[in-house]
Amino acid sequence: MDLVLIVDDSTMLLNYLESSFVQYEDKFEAIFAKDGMEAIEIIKSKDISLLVTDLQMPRIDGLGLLAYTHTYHPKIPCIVMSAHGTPAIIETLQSDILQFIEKPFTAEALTEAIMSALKEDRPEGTFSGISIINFLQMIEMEQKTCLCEVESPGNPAGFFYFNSGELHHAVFGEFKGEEAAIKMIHIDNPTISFKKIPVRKIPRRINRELTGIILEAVKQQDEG
Amino acid sequence: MDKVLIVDDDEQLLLILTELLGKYKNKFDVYPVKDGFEAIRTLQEQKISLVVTDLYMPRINGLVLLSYMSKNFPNIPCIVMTGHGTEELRNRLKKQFTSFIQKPFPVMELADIIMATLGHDQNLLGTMNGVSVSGFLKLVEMESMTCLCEIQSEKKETGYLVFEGGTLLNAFYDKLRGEEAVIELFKMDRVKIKFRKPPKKKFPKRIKQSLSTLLKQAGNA
Repeated sequence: MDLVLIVDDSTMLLNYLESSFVQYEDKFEAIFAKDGMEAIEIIKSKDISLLVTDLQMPRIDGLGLLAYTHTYHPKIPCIVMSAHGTPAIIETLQSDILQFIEKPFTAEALTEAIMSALKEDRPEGTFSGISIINFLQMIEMEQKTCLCEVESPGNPAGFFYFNSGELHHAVFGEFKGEEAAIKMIHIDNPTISFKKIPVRKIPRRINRELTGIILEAVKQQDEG
Repeated sequence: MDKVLIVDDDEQLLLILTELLGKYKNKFDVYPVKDGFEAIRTLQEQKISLVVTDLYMPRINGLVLLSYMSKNFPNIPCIVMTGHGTEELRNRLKKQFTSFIQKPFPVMELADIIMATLGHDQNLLGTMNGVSVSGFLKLVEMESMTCLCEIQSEKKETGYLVFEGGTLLNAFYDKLRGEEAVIELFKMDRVKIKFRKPPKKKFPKRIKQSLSTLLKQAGNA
């Protein structure tokens, strides 16, 4: 039986889903957590087939949880329950491994998304997990202020700094600003983690919109 | 059909409440709106029987909505639901408005409060208005009633009397219990009484003196 982990800090939503899922208990088993911390404990101890998570939560939030899952269990597909995804953003973010459902949704709609995610065949060879572009776009969507570390074998550590969802700075080895951001977007399968924001003010070195930087990176990749 | 207006900026919660309260569509219709601004517009356009509102919302919040209602629709009862709020705010709301429910709550609990407020209370056996407590006591004894009586004075002070087979078991009024509570309740005149089926919980007999002795003590014999 597939085990589906549902993570949201709204007890009322979890209760609603739990009672609605009773009628699908022959299809999948649902397990519930109310923040990223609880979810990580469950992922460590159980064999999860699918992760369904909210983004805004106390303690470890959805992005932190997705970063953990991406690093340690990159094959677990994820459905993100988002309150402010516009259809355009959702379209650009969707992938085999990562899907979105916009709040408010009915239990029936979520069940459909769960069933289709569980059925999905992900070819082993081409597998790459949640992309760095996905993470950057989710940070923008959530208007988060955060320091995001990007690690990959053979490369120096890199950082993206976001202030209220706007990319303000990036550092990658000796590169800084836009150039560093573009180089980091090119990295295949990096490990992503969220760091504590330093007390000292981080200067703004990037003024271009994230979409522009992503497009530039994709263009360079196609050319190169 | 009664129309119940539900106000909350959490659209996911609004959808859940609308779906789950939809089971009662033979009793009331649900009108979901996502802030006080939309709520006021709906109140002006529709004949609303009851408002269930959150407190913290953008544009016009719950407190503003409640004060608008007390000026413009003072006869529409309100149920306030919130996840936060200080003790002081809660006490103020309890005094001022019909009911209060703290998030998270089981939706069935909200449904019960809505039904009770609308008068669709399944446990409600009957109500009496403007009666004296001594007069109604004779009735309870004569009929050997087993019930929970909610007594409400003209000043909206509320107390409870628990009867089993016409015998008074216990009473509750403010912080008072037992005989002390009975005496205070017996002092009330022209009360509104609601008879309900007693809760499943067993009440021990806390009233030792006879009803006539207690009535005399209350000076209401």
